[in-house]
Amino acid sequence: MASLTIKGLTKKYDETIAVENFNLEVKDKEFLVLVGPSGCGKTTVLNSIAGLININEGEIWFGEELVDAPQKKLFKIPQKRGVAMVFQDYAIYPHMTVYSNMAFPLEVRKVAPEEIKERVIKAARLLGIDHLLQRKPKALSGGQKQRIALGRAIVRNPKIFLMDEPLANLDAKLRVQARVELKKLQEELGVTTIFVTHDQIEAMTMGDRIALMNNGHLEQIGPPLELYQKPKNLFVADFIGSPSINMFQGNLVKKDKSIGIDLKFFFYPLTTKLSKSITDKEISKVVVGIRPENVLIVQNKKDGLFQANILRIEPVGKEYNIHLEVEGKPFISIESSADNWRQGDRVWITFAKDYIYIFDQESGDIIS
Amino acid sequence: MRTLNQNILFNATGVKQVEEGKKEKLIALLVILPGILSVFIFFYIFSGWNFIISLTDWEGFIPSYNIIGLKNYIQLFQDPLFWTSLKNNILLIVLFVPGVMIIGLCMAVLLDQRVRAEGIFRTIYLLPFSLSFVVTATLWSWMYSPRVGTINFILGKLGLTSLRKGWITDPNMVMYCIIIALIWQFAGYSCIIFLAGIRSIPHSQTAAAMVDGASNFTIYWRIILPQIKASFITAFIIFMCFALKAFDFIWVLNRGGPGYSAHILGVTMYKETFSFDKFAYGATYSTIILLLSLLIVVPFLFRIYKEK
Amino acid sequence: MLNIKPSRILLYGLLIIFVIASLLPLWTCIVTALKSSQEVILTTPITPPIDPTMEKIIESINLLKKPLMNSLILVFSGVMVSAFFGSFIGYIFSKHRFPGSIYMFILIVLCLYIPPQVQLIPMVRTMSNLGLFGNLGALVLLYMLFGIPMCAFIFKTFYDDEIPDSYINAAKVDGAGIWTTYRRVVLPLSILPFVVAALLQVVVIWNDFIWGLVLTSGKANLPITVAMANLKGSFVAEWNLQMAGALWVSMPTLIIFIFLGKYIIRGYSGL
Ligand SMILES: Nc1ncnc2c1ncn2[C@@H]1O[C@H](COP(=O)(O)OP(=O)(O)OP(=O)(O)O)[C@@H](O)[C@H]1O
Ligand SMILES: [Mg+2]
Repeated sequence: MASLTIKGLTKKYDETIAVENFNLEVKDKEFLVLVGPSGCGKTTVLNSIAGLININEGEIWFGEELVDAPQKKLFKIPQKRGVAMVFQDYAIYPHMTVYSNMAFPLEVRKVAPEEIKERVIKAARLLGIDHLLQRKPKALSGGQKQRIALGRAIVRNPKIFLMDEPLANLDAKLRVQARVELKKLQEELGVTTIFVTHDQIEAMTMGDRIALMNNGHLEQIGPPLELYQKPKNLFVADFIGSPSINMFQGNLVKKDKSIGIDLKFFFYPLTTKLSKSITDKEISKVVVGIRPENVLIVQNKKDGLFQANILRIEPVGKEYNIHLEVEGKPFISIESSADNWRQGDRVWITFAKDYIYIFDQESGDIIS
Repeated sequence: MRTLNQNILFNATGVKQVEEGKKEKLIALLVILPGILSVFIFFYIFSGWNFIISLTDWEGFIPSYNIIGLKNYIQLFQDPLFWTSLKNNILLIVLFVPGVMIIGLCMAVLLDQRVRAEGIFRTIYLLPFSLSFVVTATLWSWMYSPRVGTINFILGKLGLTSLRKGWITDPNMVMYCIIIALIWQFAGYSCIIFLAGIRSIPHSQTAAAMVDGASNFTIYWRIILPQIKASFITAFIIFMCFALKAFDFIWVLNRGGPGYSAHILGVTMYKETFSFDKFAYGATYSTIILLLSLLIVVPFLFRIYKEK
Repeated sequence: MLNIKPSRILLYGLLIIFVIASLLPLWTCIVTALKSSQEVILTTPITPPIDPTMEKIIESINLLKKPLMNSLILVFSGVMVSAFFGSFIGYIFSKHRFPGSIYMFILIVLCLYIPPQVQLIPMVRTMSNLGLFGNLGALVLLYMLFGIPMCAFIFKTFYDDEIPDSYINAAKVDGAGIWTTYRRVVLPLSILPFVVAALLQVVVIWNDFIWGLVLTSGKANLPITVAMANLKGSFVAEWNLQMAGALWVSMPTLIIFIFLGKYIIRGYSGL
């Protein structure tokens, strides 16, 4: 069991920079989810931690122990790092039985045979695969293979678990189930875990904290709700949440003393508190973000509303995603009932106060 | 202070780890080294050595020799036998390489038509390629035999008595006889190369073209053939290199005869070296063969691996 | 059966013409080998023997017995060594690349295309220095390293395509070194390339002629192809004996191609 610290990690492949100046601290026993779009460098970070690739710059610490620091010519080989890894394709050896697969890491470490047996059987019981131990993996289902891969990781009593999209190859239903089980297992074992995924729902539901990556660097790290409610920039706001946040481009303008945002179809006045924080900065072009649940459809015209067309009403379980459009710009609202409207209706819209985010159009950083 | 000390401590163990990783790779390299080293000596050092020999006047097993520079090459370019061999070799290349590729491609396309018992046809087509050149040369001496041979017999049966010939005993015919026999031997191999190429194209592509109403001919001409460029290149390199180094078949058939009519570079090289003990002059021939082969292979090889 | 399309008839017609062309020389070989010398003269080259006789088949095996044993020795020693090296080299170049390894591997593959003529003279010289010239030992040594490039190529292609890097990474993280990973993970999964590489090497070594011609001398040391070529030279008029000899020489490779053809085809089409 250990905490993990990454300082200034940089990894280049020839010309492409896969990860640049990446910093991360994972607490002991924490379940950290590393999430981001495809190609953003998640696997690179994970492989660096495991020692499967040589990094160009930076330091990696396991607790108090420095395991990787190219500037100090220090590199601990993966065999000696004491991490366990679950791969996306599970990497289960097809020629060995399930038992041998799980025993393999202990055998190469020359653990006594009786102890191997004991630990493998214990791990198999924990994962509910003890009846499969004598089978060859070939004929097993995806869910069973995934458990074997997990089993091979936990028999080791590793310091750190690394998992690279271990649920990506499961079908939707199994994935939800595996999510819960995996999280429970990690809590029971209390092993520091870094879990890679590109699925933000997986990230939101599983992580103690989420580290969101983009283009080789860290965008934001924090508990799931913090990322959801206090995104640092446009990218984070856009990536987290489903359906995604609605975004409108606009200009900051002064009108009748107070400051507001001109969205072309609508003038959105800012509260005095907001305007104060904004006037200091010299920004005129902004992006307004509003989560679908904060887009409200109202019955009657009131002040501070605008009109939009209903494009489509999409039932998703107990809620409805209402696809709307104003001046050619589509956006979404989530409503608990859609009985009052039909496709093609023209309705009045308002944004829930205090729930809008304003970003600088140029840098993407949040302003308020 | 503590962290500093720790750093030094860990640095020390860390360096050991680096070396441990390196040591493992080193051992692995040591395991493959005898293999790789002997391969490199055999293929590259020997090639260089062969070139050096070609710059000497070394004759056979007498150990002493002098460096005479490029004299052997000058002699070579004035030697009518060299030009005869080169001419015959070019004839072989020009007819054999396209011939075997076209016939192999035809076989592959025919086999691609959802043929019943495709595996049996494929196996039969490949059978000639399983034979040693010594065997095929023996078989074809019998086929071409002027008095009792199969070919003259069949021509007689077909009433084409006028076409009956001396075949391999006829200096004007022998190269063509050899080319036909070699095409026979290699056609199945060529077929396998092309069939593998055709089969590597996803079925969905041809299915899509069929749905679009493309004729069978269009599918091959417009969709399949352009995509098996790699097979063409592979086949081309393999058959070119074979044609440049060919020796066994012709030697066993009739020692490159009658006369010099079937001497190609490989045959003349052998004869100069081992029949006349002119080792240095023979080495000159092999250097030429090597240069021609490299000229064909190297550009393709580097391009193929650069792409990866 | 009446509604077969004419195009299908044409297709099978062409396929069968190729079959006849492929098999005709083999057919005349077999029928002639089974004929007595008289019958060779009296009958046509393609008619089956009226009175089949094993006489020449037996006579030829008596002439080729010793060379056949020699070739078997060559095949076994050569295949073992080059398959082992090929497999380990393929593994290193596929899964443990080091700076410059790709160029090193190109150089290994290039060996496949270097004409043997270039090595003939240096090899003769080396073998006479080692005192092996004329011996079977010269060929044993030669074939051991001769097949390494082809085997390395076959194994690397297989490891690249069929063994995911994650297997190696998983073993690494689990604590296995290069050698343990090879022995416990890679080797057990390499049965197919071993079969393919071994069969191709058997065929190459068995059929090779020029090296035996140059490096061995004296009846006792000849590989079978050289002995067969000598037989052809010394029994010019005895077609049935020649054909019987040719049958013996071609038997092993014919059997391999007929019964294990799918492995051979995998090898030829790049696995
Ligand atoms: N071996 C390599 N050689 C060259 N470039 C590489 C290599 N491995 C990764 N890259 C590049 O580095 C970047 C990061 O790759 P990485 O595999 O870490 O992404 P990822 O976040 O894991 O993506 P995914 O979700 O698709 O798995 C990508 O642009 C990728 O193209
Ligand atoms: Mg990845």
